[in-house]
Amino acid sequence: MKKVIGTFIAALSLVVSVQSQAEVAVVVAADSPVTASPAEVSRLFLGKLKKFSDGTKAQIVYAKEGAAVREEFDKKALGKSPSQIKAYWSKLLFSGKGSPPKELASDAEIKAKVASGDGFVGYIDASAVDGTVKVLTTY
Amino acid sequence: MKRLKLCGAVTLGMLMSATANAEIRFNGFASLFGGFTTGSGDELLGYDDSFSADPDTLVGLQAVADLEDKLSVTVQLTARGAEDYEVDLEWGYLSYQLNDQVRINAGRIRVPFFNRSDFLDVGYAYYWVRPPELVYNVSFSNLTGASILYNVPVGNWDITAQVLAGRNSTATINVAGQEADFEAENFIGGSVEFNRDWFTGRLGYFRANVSLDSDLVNGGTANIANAGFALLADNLAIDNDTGTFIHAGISVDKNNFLFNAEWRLIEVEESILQERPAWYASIGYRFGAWTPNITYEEIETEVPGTIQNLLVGAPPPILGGANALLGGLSADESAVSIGVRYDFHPSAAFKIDFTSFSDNANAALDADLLTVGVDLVF
Repeated sequence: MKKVIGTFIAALSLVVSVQSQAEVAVVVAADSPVTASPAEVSRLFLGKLKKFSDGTKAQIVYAKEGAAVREEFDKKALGKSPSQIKAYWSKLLFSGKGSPPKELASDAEIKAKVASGDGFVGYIDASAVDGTVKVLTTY
Repeated sequence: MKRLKLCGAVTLGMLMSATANAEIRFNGFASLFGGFTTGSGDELLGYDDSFSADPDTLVGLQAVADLEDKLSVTVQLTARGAEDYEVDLEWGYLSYQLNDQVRINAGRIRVPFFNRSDFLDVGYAYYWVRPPELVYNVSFSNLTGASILYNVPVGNWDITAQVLAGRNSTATINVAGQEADFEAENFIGGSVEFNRDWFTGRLGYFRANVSLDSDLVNGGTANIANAGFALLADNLAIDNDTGTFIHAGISVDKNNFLFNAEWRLIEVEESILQERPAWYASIGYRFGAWTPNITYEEIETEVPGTIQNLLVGAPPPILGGANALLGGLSADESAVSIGVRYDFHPSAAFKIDFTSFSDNANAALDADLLTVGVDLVF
């Protein structure tokens, strides 16, 4: 019995460590001068802030609905569930106050978009970070 | 009504002509609900004791065309079960995004009376089956006019202010079972919303010149005037009287704990509409995909002092006539609702609600209502 419990705890800790490894990185173009605190990231990705602190116009990009990185970001950075995020953008959309951000299908597409500059900001799995992007913060 | 159709045609026309060189985005929402009152013969919110799917069922379609030079056209069409699924132009307006902070809308627009006015029909955006009816039930929700929307971050706060002006001439009010035309002219006012992280507060003030064209009321006040009480009759009639609407609301969403409360006061002094304060408080808690919630709401109208003074010493027939008119628009009602929202799909939520309504002036109108259904966005 002890052995079973031991195995169970080992398995559980493995699950926990696997989960904590799935880090999300908020990225902009490698040569971008912009910065953002976690509080600013949250407001940027909810469309409340439209500019970075240095005045650069922000253009946010979401990962596709249902993507693991998106659920992780919604939870850790925005503190909301996918359906809360959906409800949030529905409010803005159907009240004519805003439209949901563009969604891209993969980390590679998001990197390519963000690397093109112009204040684009997105989030990708931290393991996908490379020289084309700069990390603002990770979760 | 003609004006509305014309307005709709013009907006649709603008949208059509925009198709040549603009991208059009279509989105929609739907609420599919059914319910019944649990007591034999009871009626509430359009339901009776046999199952009906009409009162809360609606489908909405929105089209937004982005034109060049910061211009866009938005049209929202709805079909409601409560109105025999006739397609209605809910709103249709031209928007000019002056800059990141200022947006000007003109056309048929929503009045931001309440916290949830802007997305009243989009049930997916809140946990109730319907927002608290005793508070949210106002005679109209849209205007033909223009609004300026101002959006600005101040420190860690996000402020949204809106001022608007216009008129509504398509509303009706139920007076003792009869639909009567209601008009709000020279409507002007504004609201300000301040949000920080988990807290949102809201204040609003609006005013208008309101008129009611009801045979019942006109007949009653004419009788009172003919009996020599012209001043009293004038103070009962709703004829170009100044109406005001004041609102305060808060909304909290912290660590899965949800709290909402709103208070509003509608006052049309010197008329049978009287003073109409109403409020609700609601608590919800998110357990994963489940959000159980409970809400208390009430309204209690009050006859203004001016009218009370005029009634002092009036002979019984006059007093009786005046009280009958006042009674037709009085309300002393409360309700408790218990509900659950279940997010079973990324774009759909299942909801069940049990509302127990009390009419403190007439217990025969008490009723309990069970409603079940689904809200969608697409």
